[in-house]
Amino acid sequence: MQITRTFVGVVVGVGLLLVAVPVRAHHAFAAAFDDHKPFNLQGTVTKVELVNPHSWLWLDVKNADGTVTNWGIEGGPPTNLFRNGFTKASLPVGTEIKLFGYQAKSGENKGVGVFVEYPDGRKVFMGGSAPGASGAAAAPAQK
Amino acid sequence: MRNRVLVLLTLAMVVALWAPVPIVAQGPSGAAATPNVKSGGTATTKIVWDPTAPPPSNWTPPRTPWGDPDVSGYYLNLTYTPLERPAALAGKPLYTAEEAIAAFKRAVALDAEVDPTTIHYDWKEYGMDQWQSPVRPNRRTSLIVDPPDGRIPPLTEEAKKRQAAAAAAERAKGPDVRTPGTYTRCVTGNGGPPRIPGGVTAESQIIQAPGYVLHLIEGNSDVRVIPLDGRPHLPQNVRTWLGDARGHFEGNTLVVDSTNFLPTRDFRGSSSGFHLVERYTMADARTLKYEFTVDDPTTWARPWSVEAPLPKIEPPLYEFACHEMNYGLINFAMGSQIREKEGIGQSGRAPVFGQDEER
Amino acid sequence: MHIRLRGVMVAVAAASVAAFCVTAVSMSGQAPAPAAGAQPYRAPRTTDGHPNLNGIWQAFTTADWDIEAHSSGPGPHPEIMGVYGAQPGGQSIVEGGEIPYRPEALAKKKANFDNRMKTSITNDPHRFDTGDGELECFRVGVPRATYMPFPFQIFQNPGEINIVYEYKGALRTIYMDPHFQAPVESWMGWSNGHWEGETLVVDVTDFNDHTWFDRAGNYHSDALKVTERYTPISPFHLQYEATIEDPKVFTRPWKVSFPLYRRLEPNIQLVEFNCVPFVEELVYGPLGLYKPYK
Repeated sequence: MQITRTFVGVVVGVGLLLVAVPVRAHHAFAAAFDDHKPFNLQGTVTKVELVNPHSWLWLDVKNADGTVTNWGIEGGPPTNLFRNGFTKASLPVGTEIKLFGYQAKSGENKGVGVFVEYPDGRKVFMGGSAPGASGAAAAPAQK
Repeated sequence: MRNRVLVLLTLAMVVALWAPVPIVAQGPSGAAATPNVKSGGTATTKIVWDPTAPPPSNWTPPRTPWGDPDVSGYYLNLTYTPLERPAALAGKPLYTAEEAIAAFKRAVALDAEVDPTTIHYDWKEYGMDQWQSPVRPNRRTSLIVDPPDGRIPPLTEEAKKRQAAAAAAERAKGPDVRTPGTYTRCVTGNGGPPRIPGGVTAESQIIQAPGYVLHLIEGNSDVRVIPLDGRPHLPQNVRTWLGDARGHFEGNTLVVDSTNFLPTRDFRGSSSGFHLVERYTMADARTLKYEFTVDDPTTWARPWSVEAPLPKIEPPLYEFACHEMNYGLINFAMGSQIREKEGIGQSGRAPVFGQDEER
Repeated sequence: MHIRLRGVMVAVAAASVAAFCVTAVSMSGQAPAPAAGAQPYRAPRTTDGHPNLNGIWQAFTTADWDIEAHSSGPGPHPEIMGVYGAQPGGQSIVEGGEIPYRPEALAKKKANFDNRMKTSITNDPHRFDTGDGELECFRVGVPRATYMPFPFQIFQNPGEINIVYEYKGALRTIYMDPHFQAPVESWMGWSNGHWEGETLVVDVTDFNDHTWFDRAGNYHSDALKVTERYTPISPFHLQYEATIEDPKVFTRPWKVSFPLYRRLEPNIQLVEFNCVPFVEELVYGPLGLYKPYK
């Protein structure tokens, strides 16, 4: 995978004590979604499925011509979200969110959400500020 | 070319992580008390797994109320130690503790990188970067401890022929829902046992009741029932995805012998001769030592063995109803078929579990 | 104390016959009436002093076909399945015989039955709009998992009781101490339990609305709450009751009950029933996503 290959070169140059990080290939996603079709979407949540193997967010997105399209966005499994206090009440229907991701190869109004954020840039799930950066914990970005 | 976007605060985070106290993520304030809220302890360098260290002197391995060694609890199957020793570390089976910590820090920094050209949800947003869980440094440079070179033994000629034939049959069939591994199909949670640390959906639980042990992994909610009464295995013609397990105690170690695997279970290209022996031992109050030996004369020239420390974590586990909600398999199969028609090649080759994480 | 079957079975059976009398259990859901003057059965204890429910158990009803009374019949696709697919007749496991549907909800039950073999699998939430999930190897929820025609095994320790169902290897954890709360709904619900004397009482909540009670289309909403009661009535039987509450669908709570029988064969074990590979062609074939090997 390209990320690891390039980084390997850098690290070997620096330290020689290389750790081969487990490669997180993602053949299923690379096949299902299209790297030539990135999107930035903003819309209103209509359904939240905190399910396995992947969670799904459904949102109504207003198109430029005023019509509304419902998009389905694939995310990660929710188990670690639960372990950090996230529940089905944490992202209510009607919330405005924005996403960056890649559309389905099939052309359906579906995609994988790479980043999921509120309009002000806070993360919807985890990842907010880096843990320990200010001594404060990395809280899921909801009240 | 791809631009890599480093998380801006990665360096600050790496520095901050080495404070003496592990950082714990908080859940929403005001929520009703649930155990989820206090979970989520992150990586720490305070505890380094040292296989050469003697057992702690002021700790006695616990027993269940009915007198069996107690290995029950919730455990984390994550590590930055690779399964196989990298070529650059040939001949070096152990780091010093300082080297182990340095290697661990580098792995955390790599892991925290986010590349938006990757067609994948940001693992970190779902708490799935390994440093977001209590992983620890390990003096071992590979999980494989035997053969001594820390690498999987060579395939037998029979295995090479068999795997080539299977790949050819797969190409002739064309992409469909059976193209990816049993993991993506939601047939098993990680290809079935052994659970090699690493990857995702890493929580597991060992449950003990008189005469039985249960081993549950969060992935696909796969559960193995392990009787301890010495009964024989099922007859050879009865085959399963998760194997047929039989357990007994040797001192404080639970030893589990598993056979009767389906030849199609495909653990790293294995087949009908697959035989697994696992050993579970409490190493200290916070750590389960997990060891296993795989032998399959139809696949590898010799057996190979792994040792891994599994940190204790907080309960509970959650239902992983995978096949029920497997929208993604449809997307994968549709996308793969379109790519085949377009002649741009199958990205969805059958993955090798442990090398390729589907999630 | 784990009952060791080999060599002890005869002694246990003799002792239990001497110790109590249990009349035949009626199929309309009533607990067995002990003979006059007989003490209620007291099961052997676990190390923490509670009735020992460890073991492999199975229901012997036809309730998975239909929890209400039903005739035998040809079943789906008799032109292919013949007797293999035929439905046996059976008596109701519902106390009082009939499920108290709200009038408008009964129409949906009938529509469910007409559509039970529909496998309109999609890659969105509509995949659950029609059809019985059992057909597609989905989890069947509670209490249906108890009366599926497969054994299940109870593993009991003080903090948790775990039940593994042979069907799908589905596992339920019943939190005894401490209790936990569900972050989200699930197929098998979320179980917190406690003891009332000889009875294990389990409160099951947070179900999704995708499961049916049987193949006949009897269903519930996401408001479902189930209260189970497991009571040992002999060394070889548990009496099982489940109270169903769902005000969106039913006019009042109602109850199913039937005995569970201990599987006694030497070396009896659950044998893996992973049905996902058995249904991939059925489920994905209509989408063109299941290809034969050449």
